[in-house]
Amino acid sequence: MPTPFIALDKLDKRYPDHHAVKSIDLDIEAGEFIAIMGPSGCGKSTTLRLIAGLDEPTDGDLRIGGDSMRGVPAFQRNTPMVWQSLALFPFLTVAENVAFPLRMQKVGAAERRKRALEWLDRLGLAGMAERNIAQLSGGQRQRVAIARALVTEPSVLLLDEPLSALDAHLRVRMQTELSRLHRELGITFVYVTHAQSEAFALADRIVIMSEGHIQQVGRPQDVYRAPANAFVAEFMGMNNLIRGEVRGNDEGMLEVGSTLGNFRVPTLTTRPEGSRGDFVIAADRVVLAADMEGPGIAGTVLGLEFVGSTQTVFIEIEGGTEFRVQKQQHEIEALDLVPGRQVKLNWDSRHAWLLPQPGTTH
Amino acid sequence: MTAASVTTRASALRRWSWLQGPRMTGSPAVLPSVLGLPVLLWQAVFFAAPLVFLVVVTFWQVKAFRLEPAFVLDNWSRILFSATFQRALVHTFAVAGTTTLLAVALAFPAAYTIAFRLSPRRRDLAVAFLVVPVFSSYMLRIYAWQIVLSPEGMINALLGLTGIGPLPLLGGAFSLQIGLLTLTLPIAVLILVFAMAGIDRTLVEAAENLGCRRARVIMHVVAPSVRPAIALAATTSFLLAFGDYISPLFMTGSKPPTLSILIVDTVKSGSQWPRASVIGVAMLVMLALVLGIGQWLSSGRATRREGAR
Repeated sequence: MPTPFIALDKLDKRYPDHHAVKSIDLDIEAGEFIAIMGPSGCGKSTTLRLIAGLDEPTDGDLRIGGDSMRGVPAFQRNTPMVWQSLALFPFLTVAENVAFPLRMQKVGAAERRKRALEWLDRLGLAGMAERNIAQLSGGQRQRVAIARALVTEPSVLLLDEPLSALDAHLRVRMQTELSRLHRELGITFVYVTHAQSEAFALADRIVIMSEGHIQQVGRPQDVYRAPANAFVAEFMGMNNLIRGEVRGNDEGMLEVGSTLGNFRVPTLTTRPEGSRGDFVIAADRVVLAADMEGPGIAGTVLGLEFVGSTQTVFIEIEGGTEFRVQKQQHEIEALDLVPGRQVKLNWDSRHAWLLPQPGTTH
Repeated sequence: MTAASVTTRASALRRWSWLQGPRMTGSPAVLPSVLGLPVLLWQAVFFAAPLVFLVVVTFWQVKAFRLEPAFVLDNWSRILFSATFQRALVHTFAVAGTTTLLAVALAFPAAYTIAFRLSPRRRDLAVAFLVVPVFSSYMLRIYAWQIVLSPEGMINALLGLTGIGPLPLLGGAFSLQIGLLTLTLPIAVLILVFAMAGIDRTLVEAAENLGCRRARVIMHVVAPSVRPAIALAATTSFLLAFGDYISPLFMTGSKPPTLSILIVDTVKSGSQWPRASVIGVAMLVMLALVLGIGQWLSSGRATRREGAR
C-alpha cells in the first residue's frame, strides 16, 4: 500500500477551555478531493489549521509526503489556504496579492508578475491585475484568493468554507470552477464545509466530524446510504432513524422490535437477541398510501417543504415520532397530501440500513 | 386601504411639500445646516476670527509700546530676513523632525508588542497606562524629569555611587528630546495600538500560510495595514513638538531658541505683537505644509504604486 500523502496520526488539539480535536486518524491520498463536514464546533476547521500549521497539535503526529510536520512552522509548509473571509491584502493590488507568495520565495519581480498574470488569466481575471481589492465583486475576490493560493504550484490546497460568503448562483459556478481546477492540477484538495451540497458535488471522499471525533469517512454515496452511526444518519438530514432491539435472526435479515412495530432489516452478520438494532430508512425510500386498511405505520401529515423537484413531507406517527418523506410533486398531488391527511407509511425491507453496533469498526 | 387614508396621505404630502421644495431646486436641506450651526459658530469665533486677527496684526505697528492699526510690510521683512528667525526655524524643524522620527521608531515596536503580543487583559492595562499621562499635566511631567535629570538629580546621584559623573543630562538636545517625547510618545503609541488592534488577524495568518516568516509579517502586513496611522502619529508628533513651549523652556533653558520661545521673547521685548504674529503665521504655514505631506503619505496609494513601477 502506498504511503498516504497527508497522514493524521492520533492528532489531538486541546485549547485551555476546549478539546477541539480528539486523537483522530485520517489518511489522505495524493490528488484526492476530500471534504471535511460537520456542525459548527466539530473540529473541522481546527483540523485544517493543524494541517496548515496555524495551530500546533497537542499530541499525535501529522505527516505530509511522509515527513512529520511537528515543529515545522506554517511559512515553511507550502500548504496554502483559501479563507472563508478570503484574507486578501487590502493594501495590495490584485496582481500584488497573487504575487505575494512568490515574493516571499524571493522570486524576481518580472518573473513573479508574469506568473501572477498567468494565474489571473487562468481564473478569468485578465485585465483586473491593477485593480484594488475593494473594486472587485465577491466572486472576483474569491478567484483572486484561489489564484494567490495556487501561484506557487503547491501539492495541496486547503479550503476553509470558501464559498459560504457567496450567493447561491455564484456558489454553483465556483463549485464547477474548483472541480475543474482539481481535475486539471491533479493536486490534493482538503475542503472544509458545513454545506452537504458542496461536499457531495465536489469530494471524492467525505469525512464527517462531530465533537472532535471522526464519525465516518467514505464516498458521498456511502455516507448518504450507509451511515456509520445515528449521528451521521441524522446529520445527513434525509434519514429516518428507528431505534429498536433485536428480536431474532432470519437468513440475512434481522427482526427488530420497536415502539413503531416489528421490522425486518438486512444484515451481513447475526446479532444476539436483545442487542441494539437501530436502523435508518432514507426519506426517498418511504412509500406512502392513502388506504388506511393496508399494511404499514399510520401517520398524519404535519406539513410540506418545497425543495425543488421534490418536496419533503413531514409526517407524525402516533407516539410523537416524526418522519421525513421525500416525494415528487405528482405523487403528492395524487395522494392529496395536505396537513391533517392520514396516510400509511411503508418501505421495502431491503432498503432499511442497519446501523453498525457502537464500538465496532466501520 | 380606504379612500380616507389615501386622502390623509395626500394632504400630508401637501403639508410638508414646502420643506421639500428647496431641496428639489438644489439648495442643501434645511435641517442639516441648522444642526451644523453650533459647530460653524464655534469654528468662526474660536478659530477663524483669531486667525484672521493674527494675520491682520502682522501688518500693524507698535509705537511707544502701543499697538496701532496700520498697513506696513516692515514686520514681515524684518522677521523673515532676520538670522535669529532663520536659525530658530531650522532648529525647530530639526528638533521636531528628530522627535517625530524617535516617536514613530519607538512607538511602532511598542504598539506592536501591546497589540499583538499581550493578552487582552494586559493590553487594556497598557492602554490605560498610556492614556493616563496624556490627561495628566505636562508641566508636572517636565518637572519630574528635571528632578530625574538635574546635576543633583536621581540619575546623577546613582552614578555618583559608582564614581561616574555628574553628567550634564539637563539642558541640551538630549533632555529636550526627553521632554518632547514625554509629550508625543504616549499619543503616538496609542494611535498605533488602536490601528494595529484593528488589523484582521486572518491577514497575519494568511501571510504566514503563504510563506511569510513572523518577522517579515511586520514589514509585509502590519506596517502597510497601519500606514495611515503611522502618518497620523508622525504628523501629530511633529505638530506637538514644533509648537511646544514648555520643553524648550524647562529642559534647555531656551538655548538655542525655538520658534515658540522666539514668539514669547519678541512679545516681551517691546511688545512686538505684530512681529510675534509674523512668526506665528509662519509656523501655521509650516504646519499646514507638514499636515498636507502627512495626508499625501497616508492616502497616496495610487501615487505610491506608480512610483514603485
